[in-house]
Amino acid sequence: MRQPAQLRRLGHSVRALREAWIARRIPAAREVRLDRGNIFIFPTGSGFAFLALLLALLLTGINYESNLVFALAFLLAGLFVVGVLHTYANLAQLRVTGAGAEAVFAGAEAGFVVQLADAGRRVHDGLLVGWEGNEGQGAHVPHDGAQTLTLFLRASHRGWLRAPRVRIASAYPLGLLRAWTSLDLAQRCVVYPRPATAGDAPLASRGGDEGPLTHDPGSEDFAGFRDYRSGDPLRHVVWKTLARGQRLQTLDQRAFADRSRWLRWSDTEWGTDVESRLALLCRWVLELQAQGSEYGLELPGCTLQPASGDAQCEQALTALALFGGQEPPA
Amino acid sequence: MSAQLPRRALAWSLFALLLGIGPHAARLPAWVLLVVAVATVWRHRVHQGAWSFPGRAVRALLVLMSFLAVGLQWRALNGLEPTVALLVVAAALKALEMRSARDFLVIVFVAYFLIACQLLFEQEIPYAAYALFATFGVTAAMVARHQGDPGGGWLRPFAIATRMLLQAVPIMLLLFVVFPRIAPLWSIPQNTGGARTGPSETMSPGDVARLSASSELAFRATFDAAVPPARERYWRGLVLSEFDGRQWRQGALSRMESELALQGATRPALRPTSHVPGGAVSAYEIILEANNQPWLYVLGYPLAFDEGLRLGSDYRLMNSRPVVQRLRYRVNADLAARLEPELGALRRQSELQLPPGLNPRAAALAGEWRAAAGSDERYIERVLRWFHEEDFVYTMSPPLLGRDSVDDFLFGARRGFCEHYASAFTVLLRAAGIPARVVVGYQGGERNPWQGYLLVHQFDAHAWAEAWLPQRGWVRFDPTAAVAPERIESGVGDALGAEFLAGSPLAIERYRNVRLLGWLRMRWDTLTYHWARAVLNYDAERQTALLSRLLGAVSPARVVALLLGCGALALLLVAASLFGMRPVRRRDAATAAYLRACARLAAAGIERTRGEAPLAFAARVERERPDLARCFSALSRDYARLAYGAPDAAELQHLTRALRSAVRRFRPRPQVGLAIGAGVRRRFHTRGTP
Repeated sequence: MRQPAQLRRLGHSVRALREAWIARRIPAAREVRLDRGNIFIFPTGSGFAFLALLLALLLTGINYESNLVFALAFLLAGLFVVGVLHTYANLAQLRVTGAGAEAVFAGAEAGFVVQLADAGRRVHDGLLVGWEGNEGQGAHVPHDGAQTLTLFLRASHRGWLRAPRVRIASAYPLGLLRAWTSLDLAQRCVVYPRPATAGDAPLASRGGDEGPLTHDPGSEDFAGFRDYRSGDPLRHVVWKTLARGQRLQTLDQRAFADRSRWLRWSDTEWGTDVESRLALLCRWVLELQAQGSEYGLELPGCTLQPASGDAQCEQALTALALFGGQEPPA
Repeated sequence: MSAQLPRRALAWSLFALLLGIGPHAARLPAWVLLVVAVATVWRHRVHQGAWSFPGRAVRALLVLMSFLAVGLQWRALNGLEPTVALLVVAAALKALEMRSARDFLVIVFVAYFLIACQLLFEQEIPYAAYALFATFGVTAAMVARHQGDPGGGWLRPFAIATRMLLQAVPIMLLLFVVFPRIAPLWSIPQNTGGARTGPSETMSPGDVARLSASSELAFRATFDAAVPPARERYWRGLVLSEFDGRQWRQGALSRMESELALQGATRPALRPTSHVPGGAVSAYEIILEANNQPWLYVLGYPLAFDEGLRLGSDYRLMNSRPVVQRLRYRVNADLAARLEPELGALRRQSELQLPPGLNPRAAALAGEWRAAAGSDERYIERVLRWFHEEDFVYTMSPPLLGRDSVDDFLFGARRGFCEHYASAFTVLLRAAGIPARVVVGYQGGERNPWQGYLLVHQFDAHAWAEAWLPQRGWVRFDPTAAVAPERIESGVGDALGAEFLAGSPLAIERYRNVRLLGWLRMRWDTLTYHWARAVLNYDAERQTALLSRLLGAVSPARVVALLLGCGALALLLVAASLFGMRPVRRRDAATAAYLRACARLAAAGIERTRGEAPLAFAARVERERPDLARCFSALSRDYARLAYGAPDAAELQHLTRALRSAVRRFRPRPQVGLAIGAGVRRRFHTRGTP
């Protein structure tokens, strides 16, 4: 059945209002302790069915004038009411901490680490933790203990990935009521560009991009050629071989002695868009990192001096991820 | 809702279902139990992976067959018993196909409902206790189903369910007291399948004797004032005026009145016949056990009684429908009233009716004696004396009588139970021209020594006679009393001796002379009595009485205030038990003082982390706030020595005092400059020097 457009719009605006309200009510924080201010509670479907059962019992009691059936109905009504407190208590005094996520490449899943710790000397059972609007995963926090969960989120674009609200819900102990909260744990992680699938890093150079080659590509014994692949810098195309009527070939930079290299924005192909240029640079960084080479990165407005090692790689990738005006990591 | 069930939920749901079915098992036909057993075993085998779920066709067939079977068994689907059977079968089949959370919920809810249905059949304390236990079990099943952590064993859900239900009890009590008891909203099929107990509408020889073989309770009676002596306790039930030579039954007028009462006529067909007040007014309350008969039992002439009850022209009290569940009614009765001082001609004729041609010897004897006696009173006296002096035997097992049953009895067998004597006596009176009739009801009753109420059992059933005498109206005569006076004075048990309850060797009433058993029986009955009065028969009238005693006056505002006030209090207590208001661990003075110092430090910007040892913390304070170091380190050392060392008594006292005064003077400020710290240091110094 198709919903009329107006109804759908109404649904959207109601949802937006609700989200805005929750955002106001539970502001972002890395660590949240669950209490009156941020726990909501509402009967589940089972809860409404239970209320219907109570009504049926009450009618039976009235019609058969049976005080014991009344008593049973009232006992179960009391159970429901007490259940509100127990369901709330199961969630209350839980300390939820967002530990953030490791940086990932675009297209991969970022794993945000959320820690649930008991701050009220009680067991928190039957918890369901997940992103707002998604199925959650089960969790259980023992008395005075903690549990760490990883919530995965697909990173589609480079840059900052902001984690959505985390929903923690529990229908324990009776399943008739659900207590839930929706927390913004101020979690975000850096998403590196997805590395290009092809394109070799530029040759080592001493400063300028027009540095002399160490080998003469013209000599026959020179093995540093390979077939041209799309994405190879035009600068490395061996025009001489093309002139001889052979296939289009480029210099294989691995054939060159490695010294410090510069990965430059200007070395990437002209004519392609920003993202594919970043992807190419990303590929180069990973390649050189794998080789253990020393490299520098030069982007418009940002230069990394040549170095090697994990820190250099992380810095370089972060610079690429946040290229184009995204604020640097806090 | 369509969520998958944890595996252990299956066992719990079957447990809940069996708890719900339990007490119904005796009432259900065998095939229903078979369906339950098959479904349970099948599902268990599926759980083990040995069998597979039944297919859709098999399930549909099972459902159809079950419904058909229930319909055939009861010829109806809307009574209480077919409803229970349907619920049981449906839940069993649901269990068989159980996969989802929704199936689980259905089973649990059916289990709750079956518990409620059980309470419609049985209301005694043991059954109510079972219902409570079953409620705990079913609730535990719900808890177990939602537990994320399988640890803790099967006892943990029970513990949680028990705790929650106990916390719910105050709310239950409150609602029970306050919830308005309104009349049934629509008519429901009454559970009329129950056996009719107590005297029936007719009386033949042997009927009352059969009743006397039962030790079941008929009713309990509580008198506001003094309890009349045993020989006065004739509980009238039915008045029988028509005799066909063998069987006594109600007169045409009484039968018509009964019909009208059952049809719900709001006014009596005839004005209750007149009476002359006797002045011995007694108020009492009767809790009548369900007997599936519409008539009630009263002592004396009912002056005032509950609304909805009807008084017949023969002074019997009627309910507007058969008593299918325990009924409580109050009566104000005149125990000495003269009934019907003027007897109309028509009525007189019907109370003189005798089957023509039967019992000629009795008729002849009556004619002869009446002529000799000269007055009705003297004639009656002579008949009773005859019963007393001749070799009449009071027994539960009289021989069979022929066509002229009264002649056979009076001049042949001379062995009989109360109905024989009542019948023969009435025939003798009628034959002498005295209007007379048989009254059936109960006589006597056992007193509960603690509560003073009377227990009237089925074996107290009795038949006696009433004769109409000019000016005196209807006068009670009991020929049985002439034969066996101990029957009236101390009850049927003493009168019958070994014959009493011979057919039921386990009946505890049989052994009422064993002191301990008697004590236990009466104690238990006291409990049952209170249960019946305070719980089962808590009705609109009692509610009003209780609420006006609690609230002064019953008004909606006050009732709501009571509900909210007590409800909030109950929930507050639950919340207190849930949230931290646990008893604070008792700290000794030294720890309290040390923690005060730490709190002041925290306010000044240095917080002691949880579990940081006092000396380690002191070292950190020394690093971070050298200005506070000196006094805080000293204080910490003192505390560490007190808390972890083994100071002797004198040292303990000394150190504690030093620590407390040091803490009193320890007022760290947020770090502004060294000057303040120096000030603190100086103060400490000055104190230290003599």
